Amino acid sequence: MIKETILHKTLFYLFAIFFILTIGFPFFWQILNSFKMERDIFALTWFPSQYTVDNYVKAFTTRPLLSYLGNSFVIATFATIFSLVLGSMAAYAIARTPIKGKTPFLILVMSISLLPPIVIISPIYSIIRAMGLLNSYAGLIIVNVLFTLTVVIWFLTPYLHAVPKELEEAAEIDGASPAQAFSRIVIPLLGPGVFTVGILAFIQIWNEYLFALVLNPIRIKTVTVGLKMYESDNYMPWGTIMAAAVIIVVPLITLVLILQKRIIGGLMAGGIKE
Amino acid sequence: MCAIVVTSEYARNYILKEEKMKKLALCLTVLLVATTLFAAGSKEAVPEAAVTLHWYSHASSLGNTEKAIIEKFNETNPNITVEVIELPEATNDKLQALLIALQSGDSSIDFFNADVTWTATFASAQLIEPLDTWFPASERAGFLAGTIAAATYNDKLWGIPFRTDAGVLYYRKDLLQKYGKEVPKTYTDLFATAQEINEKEGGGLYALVGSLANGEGLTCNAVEWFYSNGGQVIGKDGSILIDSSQNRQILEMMSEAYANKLMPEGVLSYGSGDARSSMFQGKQVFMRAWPKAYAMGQDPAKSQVMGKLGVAPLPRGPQGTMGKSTLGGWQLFMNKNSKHKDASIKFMRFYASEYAQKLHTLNDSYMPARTTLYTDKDILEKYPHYSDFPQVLETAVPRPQSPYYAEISSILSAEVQNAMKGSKSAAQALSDAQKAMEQVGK
Amino acid sequence: MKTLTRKQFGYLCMAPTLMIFLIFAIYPVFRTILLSLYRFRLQTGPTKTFIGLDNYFHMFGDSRFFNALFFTLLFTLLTVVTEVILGLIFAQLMNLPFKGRGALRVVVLIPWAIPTIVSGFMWKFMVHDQYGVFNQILQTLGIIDSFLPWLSRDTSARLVLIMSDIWKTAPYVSLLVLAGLQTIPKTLYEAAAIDGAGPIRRYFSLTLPLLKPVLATAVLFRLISSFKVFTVIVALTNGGPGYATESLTMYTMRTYFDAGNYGYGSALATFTLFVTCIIALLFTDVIRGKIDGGKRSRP
Repeated sequence: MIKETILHKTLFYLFAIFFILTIGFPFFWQILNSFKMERDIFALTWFPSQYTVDNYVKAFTTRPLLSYLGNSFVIATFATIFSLVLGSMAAYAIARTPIKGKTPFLILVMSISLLPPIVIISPIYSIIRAMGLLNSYAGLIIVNVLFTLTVVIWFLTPYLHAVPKELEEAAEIDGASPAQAFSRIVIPLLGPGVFTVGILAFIQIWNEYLFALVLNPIRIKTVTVGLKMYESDNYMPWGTIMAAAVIIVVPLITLVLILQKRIIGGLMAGGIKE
Repeated sequence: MCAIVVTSEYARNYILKEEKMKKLALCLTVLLVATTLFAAGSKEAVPEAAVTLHWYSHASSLGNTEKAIIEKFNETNPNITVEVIELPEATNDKLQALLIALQSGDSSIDFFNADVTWTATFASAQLIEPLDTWFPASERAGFLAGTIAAATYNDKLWGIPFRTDAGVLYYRKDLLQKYGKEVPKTYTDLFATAQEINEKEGGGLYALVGSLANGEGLTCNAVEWFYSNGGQVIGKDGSILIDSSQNRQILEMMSEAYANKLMPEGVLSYGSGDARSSMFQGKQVFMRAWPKAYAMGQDPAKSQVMGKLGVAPLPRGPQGTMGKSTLGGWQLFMNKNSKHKDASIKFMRFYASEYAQKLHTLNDSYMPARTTLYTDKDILEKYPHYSDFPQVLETAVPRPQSPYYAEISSILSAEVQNAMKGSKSAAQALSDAQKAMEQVGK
Repeated sequence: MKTLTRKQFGYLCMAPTLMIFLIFAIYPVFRTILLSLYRFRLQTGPTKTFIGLDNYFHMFGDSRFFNALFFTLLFTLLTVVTEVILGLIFAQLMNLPFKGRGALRVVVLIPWAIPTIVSGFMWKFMVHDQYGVFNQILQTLGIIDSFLPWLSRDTSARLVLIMSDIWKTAPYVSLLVLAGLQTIPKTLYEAAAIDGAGPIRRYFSLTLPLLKPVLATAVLFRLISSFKVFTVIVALTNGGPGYATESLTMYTMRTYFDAGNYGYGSALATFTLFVTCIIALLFTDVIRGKIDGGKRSRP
């Protein structure tokens, strides 16, 4: 038994080191190079004698990084909120009301979550164009809502099943309508679940690229599309790009670190639904 | 961000009772209001009686010349504001973004920089305004014939040229001088000279480099190789002529040069910036690039070979009569749905005026589209090699005017790469290109 | 005000979602399939000509299509298999009751949380043929003589793409597997040990079969996700060198938006849909399981 534990322990810590190195190194390299001057980046000196914050200044001044960040934030926030509201309503309808057609609906939700965006990109482009919403916030918000709705519904439906029926039934005996029962009893209890899936949705929208590229190529660019804009004169200013990447990534990582319990819980729950 | 952290604190520690719910709702509302204000605020406020034009353009040039030109324009047109919005870097990405935007009937683009190869595409898709009346024949006389031809499609004029371009050969005049070598007139001489210099310098020097990454840059280089060896790509009657013995010969020569490490190994993913970088770091004897690289090569922050660069016309292949350059260049197109056409044309004409083109040439070593500037004293003083350019431009090869140009170019580029990296023989690559091009548009 | 019945309220709640699905998902799918039967491109204006299955005949004679399909299948297979194997290994080790495994689980999250375009650029920078740190490390270790132009050669470009995807996603898969591992009661292991089963036997006869549902779900989602690969290619190679790393989605995007060929592009997109359906059909058990799980509460 002792041998087994020592073996396990060594394996574990070896693995942990390997893991942290492979995952962490690209980030370490990215951050390190964001503070280097161009000639040191070219010469591959790991730890030069001089560092600079010039790349970070350039990241904001050579391209409108602040507006890219703002655009991503607006789109992600609104899309998350809309999909949370609509999604929780739909989840409630499935979990709690005696409507017909639940199975077909769930099949539909599943299909959309598996649908490759390329299949619908051209008609969606035409629709958004016809609505006059190209290069706008609303266009990308709507399209992102489509996909995050499926995430929200998948997550909240079993979650709602776990909410005891008795509370609602008690409210209804007291004379509340289904709508009132929903808003007064169910919504507060949904809180933590909604919050968790909201984070997952937000991250998904923030990282989206394909629709952002096609629907907003000229104005209201998101951060993912914007990062490609740093190339200038067929030349990649790597120091500046690394700095921009750090700026984009640091809030995400902070978010993940603060809310990690929820995120891990949410992801793992998504993985083992039976 | 803070709002998210704050709400997380609430959610973490408390069951959401009504009190907390209200606070959460309040937080969210504030957040929503703030983001809505941000979204609304990003539209500009346009003062009355003044016009703001949106010009979708390249990234600022080396000398920030666009700004100077706009300022000069405003001296005589103070109530027209010109706002520059940058397009994505790669030419293909620019095209994609513009096509997407213009097809939507977007009126916020007034005019934009357009590559010479785009005329047929935009005109046939009816996205741009014909400019015949605004830019009459009397004015066109001052421009190089090739540039006007490139702006014409179906007998109408669609663009105002402000810049032309032709591929040229850059060489290390210090190295050629040191070993008493002439500027090569053939590719055979070029490779021989470079190899000799490399040996005598103790290694570390490549012979040739160009923007050979998959894309329009490669098409330009390849077209130059083919035409410099007496071959063609598309005949005047539209027939596909890419599969020929001359083309095979020169493509084999280039593939061998790559296989023998006479070009940097990464060259197949080099854009023009990477190619310039190799030259400016002193690793090349020769480079093929556009004229604007000259000004960049004199910038001490980027270049280690200042004062050592010479420019010459491109060499010819074994079967060619003379070296041929691909004709490039840029022009201004006007969006059909622009709401400020009169104001736009004022600036467009100013940007193509002698003043503006001369400024760009002096600052950024662009090739102007106006004939008179090639005999201009100031320009020749700064760039003596410009005296070679009129002949280069006269014989330069324009790329085919076709609404399907993007597809043809991408086939050419991919098959040339296939031959260069050895996945296909040159013969096979050209034969496949021939077949694929014949299928385009069918 | 007339109060709604539970049933009516239910339909009301579903309505907005259903509308969005209808307009932005169901209709577009049918429209794409329909358009694939037409000749419709930018250069010929807004007229559409019905040509039946001609686009598909063209597709089956299109070598660039087969090239894209080949690469996409290669990419999908290699990434999914590697990620599952690595995921199993990592999860097993993360399940060991040692200090710091909580921190490990958080580290695992980070590649998943960042945009693909960012991780793509990080890798592009690291494998650069003039100033890539990978080249430097490999050269220092004596594995290579001179810096390799990773992205200029077919095989190495594909390899870099695959590695970059594995780096980003294997940690996420390991989290999913870990969740599955933790639902297996320890008592089962103890019983098996008492019965004389060694650790290897326990793993293959006990753990893996019990992990099957989790693995099946993960494989299903990863297969479909890898098949639609696009963004990481944009960041790293843009389909090059030549067409070596042009995925099916990238070819379709170029057909749509570079060549303006909407008819043929729709055929390519329909084909992608077809393959996705086949993949999904292979995993009907998983799908049925998830749908049933949506209809009733957990046992």
